[in-house]
Amino acid sequence: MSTDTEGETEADSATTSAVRTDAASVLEVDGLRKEFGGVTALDGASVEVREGEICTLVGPNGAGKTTLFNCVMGAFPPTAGSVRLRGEEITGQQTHETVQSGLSRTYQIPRVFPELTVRANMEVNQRHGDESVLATVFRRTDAETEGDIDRWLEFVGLASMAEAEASELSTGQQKLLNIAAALLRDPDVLLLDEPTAGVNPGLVDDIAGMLAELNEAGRTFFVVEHDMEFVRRISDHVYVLADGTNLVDGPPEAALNDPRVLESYFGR
Amino acid sequence: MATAVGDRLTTVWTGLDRRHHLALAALVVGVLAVVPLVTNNEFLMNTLVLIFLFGTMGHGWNILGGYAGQVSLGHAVMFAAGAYTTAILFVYYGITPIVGIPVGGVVAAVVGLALGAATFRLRYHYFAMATLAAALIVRVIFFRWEWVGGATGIEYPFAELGTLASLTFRGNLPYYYLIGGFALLTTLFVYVMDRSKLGTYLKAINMDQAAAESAGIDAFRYKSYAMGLSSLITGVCGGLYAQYVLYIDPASTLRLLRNIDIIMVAIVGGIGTVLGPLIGAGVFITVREYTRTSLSGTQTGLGYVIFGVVLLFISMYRPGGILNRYGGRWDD
Repeated sequence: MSTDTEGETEADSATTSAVRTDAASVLEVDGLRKEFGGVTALDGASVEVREGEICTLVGPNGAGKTTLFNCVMGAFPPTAGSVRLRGEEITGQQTHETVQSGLSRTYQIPRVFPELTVRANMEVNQRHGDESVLATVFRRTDAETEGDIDRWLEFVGLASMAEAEASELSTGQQKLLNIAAALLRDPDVLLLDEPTAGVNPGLVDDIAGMLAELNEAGRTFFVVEHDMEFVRRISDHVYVLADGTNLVDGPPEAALNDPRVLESYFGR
Repeated sequence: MATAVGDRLTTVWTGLDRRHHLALAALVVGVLAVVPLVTNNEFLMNTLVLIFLFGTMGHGWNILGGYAGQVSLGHAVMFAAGAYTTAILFVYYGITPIVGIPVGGVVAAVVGLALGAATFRLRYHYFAMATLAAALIVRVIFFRWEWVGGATGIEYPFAELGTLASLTFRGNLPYYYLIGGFALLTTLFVYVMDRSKLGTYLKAINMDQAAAESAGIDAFRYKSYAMGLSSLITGVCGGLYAQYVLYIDPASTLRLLRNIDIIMVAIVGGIGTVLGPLIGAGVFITVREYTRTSLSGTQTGLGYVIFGVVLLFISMYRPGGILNRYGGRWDD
């Protein structure tokens, strides 16, 4: 779903379809529009995330990146457009339904449940079915989920802090906890909102390494990010958004070096 | 000093494992079980029965207000639903309260779920205001509804008192064990719930509902679970209250302060904690009953002044309640 804008550069048109994998689409966002009163935050943005890739969304402040995330996740309904997950329409679903459909997300500013332990934070993210009230009162979690919690905490390096309150974690650790918790649901696509924001350089490397390892194992990511070095490092495909609409998309180098992108960030 | 005692209690309780919790609880229950065998002091027995009753109501409110963070100012509605259902079934239809009390609990749960369905979209003080409005509306309706006795209410027939079928007794002792037994059952339930999926989800919804929904939690569903359980417990308490006082009317079951009493025991003890409502009821009821009977009367209102001062001190020095779930952080 590359952008067909007038004046498409040679680099853009040459790279968008040529290099990208031909894997199946997992998440398709088509013509998404969101208005807040008189303000148009999204103006027909379209994104396609394919199976097993790390797809990144960049753009200057106010481009509509987080609004797009919020619309996709059901935090608020889009004014127009559609969101499909594995071909199924999920537009306008409530957040918990979207998550149960197979999307998970993290936030730019980590959101943990501060008075719960790290382990309990993970438990909040276990799969929720149509459980009766009694089933939820007399059970905490099952053995399989317990094992998965240990595995993901180990993966992000928080196993030793499993019984600590989440409020005791640093911002970086809270980001890792958010990632581990989202992974516990085994989502079809994991949406990461600025995973490196407010994180020290060492941890940025760690996060990049984790994403690469998970991606190698077949996981699909859709990432909003401002750190261009990080974007170049992790991305398979980059979408650039400006003023709520698609500007360019393609492989990282081609997309980020496009003159229109430089112009949207720095002006003429 | 209150802060130090509260901190100590919190530390001791949270520092113990499940086995020690149960051992400690068994000890306290054992002591309470033999109290009537060593004394028949009417004031003490009445105070303990009221502590059990209000502590249990506090448990009910706490599931919704303390765990799920939905501060209801209208729990008197569910209390009255339980009390009126029990009394109506017995006095009007001759159905024993042994059946009437559980039915009253179910009716209260249905009323609570209906109230929740209408108000759960509201957050924070808007939810509290909506529940308070519901309580005030129901109060006015019951004052004017002749079938339920209007302002005069419903009195238990004197001839039926003391029979097993009526579940009424001529002394405090059977009520002590009946209401105390339900208090124990409810406490065990909340203890289990606190560590369950439901307890964890409700705490998460309370702390950050949007983040909980991002974790896949259907907040409306789990808040409804909390409302149903909360209302069921409060409704059963209403039925037990009717059995204890043998007379119910809107002035006693639906008065504005009834809503506040239920909340106060949870707040004084520590909202969102397992034992907070019982400890809160212990302090709240003891101080209230003592000041009311010994320091109040036709010539003086000193009792309520002292009662108010005690509550003021607790709120100043222990704003999170005696068992403060949030440690000292509410003081910051």
